[in-house]
Amino acid sequence: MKRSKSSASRGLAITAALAVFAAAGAAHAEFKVRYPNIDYREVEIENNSSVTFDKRQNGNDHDVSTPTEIGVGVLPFWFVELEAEAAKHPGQKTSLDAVTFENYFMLTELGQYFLDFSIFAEYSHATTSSASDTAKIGALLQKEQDKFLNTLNLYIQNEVGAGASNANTFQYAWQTRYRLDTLFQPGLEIYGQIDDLNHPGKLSEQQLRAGPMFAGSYNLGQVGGRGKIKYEVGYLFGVTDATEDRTLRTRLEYEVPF
Amino acid sequence: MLRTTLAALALLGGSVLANADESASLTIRNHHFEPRTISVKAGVKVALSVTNAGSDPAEFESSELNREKVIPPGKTVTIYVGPLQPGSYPFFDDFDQSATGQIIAK
Repeated sequence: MKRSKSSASRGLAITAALAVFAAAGAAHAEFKVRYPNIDYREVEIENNSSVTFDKRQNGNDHDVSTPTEIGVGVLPFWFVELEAEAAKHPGQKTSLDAVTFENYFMLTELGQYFLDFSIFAEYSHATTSSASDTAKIGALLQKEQDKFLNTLNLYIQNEVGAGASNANTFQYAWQTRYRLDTLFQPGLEIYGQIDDLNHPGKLSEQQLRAGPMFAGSYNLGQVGGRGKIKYEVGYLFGVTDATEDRTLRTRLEYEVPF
Repeated sequence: MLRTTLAALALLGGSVLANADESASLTIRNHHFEPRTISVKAGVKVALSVTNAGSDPAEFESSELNREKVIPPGKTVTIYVGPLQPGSYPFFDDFDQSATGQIIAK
């Protein structure tokens, strides 16, 4: 009885959120691998930053994005985040580009099945007149093998509202990291994007970048504090002509249970 | 499509569990884990049932196991770990780090 009640509430929450996203849609590629595990009863404050480097005179050099978000695990299977994305595009002043509401729905407990699986859904409200709102839905998959942690993100994103395009944007991210130590876990990652699945074009026209990364965490309880600090740093190399030569990304997070 | 994918995953996961499942129980009481040491078979998946018998929230945490889970007072959660290599895997309560324990995989 307890189980069916829990399943019903989970189904209701997911259906309600997906209905909002179905009604909605292009956003900025965020260089961040999302993990399917949810930290129930935890508050997280996170900053993700990225900066591109490109020698070509195509206006893509030093494109800076710094989304900052706050999230909370409201239910054992549901985590919500509110994000404000500040950006500085080449030749422009720093601006607030978008405000985004993100949802994670964990469908399996970590390690319970062959794959860990969560659904991700977000609605992003563009704060500049030149951009459209976007809705994104995706699958977060993870497989742990001994000390290797493999994570795959798959997303479909659409623009919504006045002036929205009909493009179905496909985004993907892969990360494999080795849990060498709590403080230092090296790995590799890939980020790709097909701007319109209906007209994918050649591989050289799609965005694809790959490179090394490392991550770690430090429990502040070891020094009498509360919570945990997590970090990630990645350096990505453009694989196709459509991708900037290099991208540096960082992620800094503070999380505390309550 | 989503339903088909979920069903396939559940079937796949179910078959894995059926072949390699072991369970163990753990209780957090008076800011201590009971028992403090759990022995499990190496190489199999373990369903660890953790009950918080205290009146304060607790968080089972282990970087070696790559697991962290908040357990509200009076609640029980299941944490899946492994298959584990032979060895010792320490864990603690993140709300009260004097509460510690270990899983020994043999």
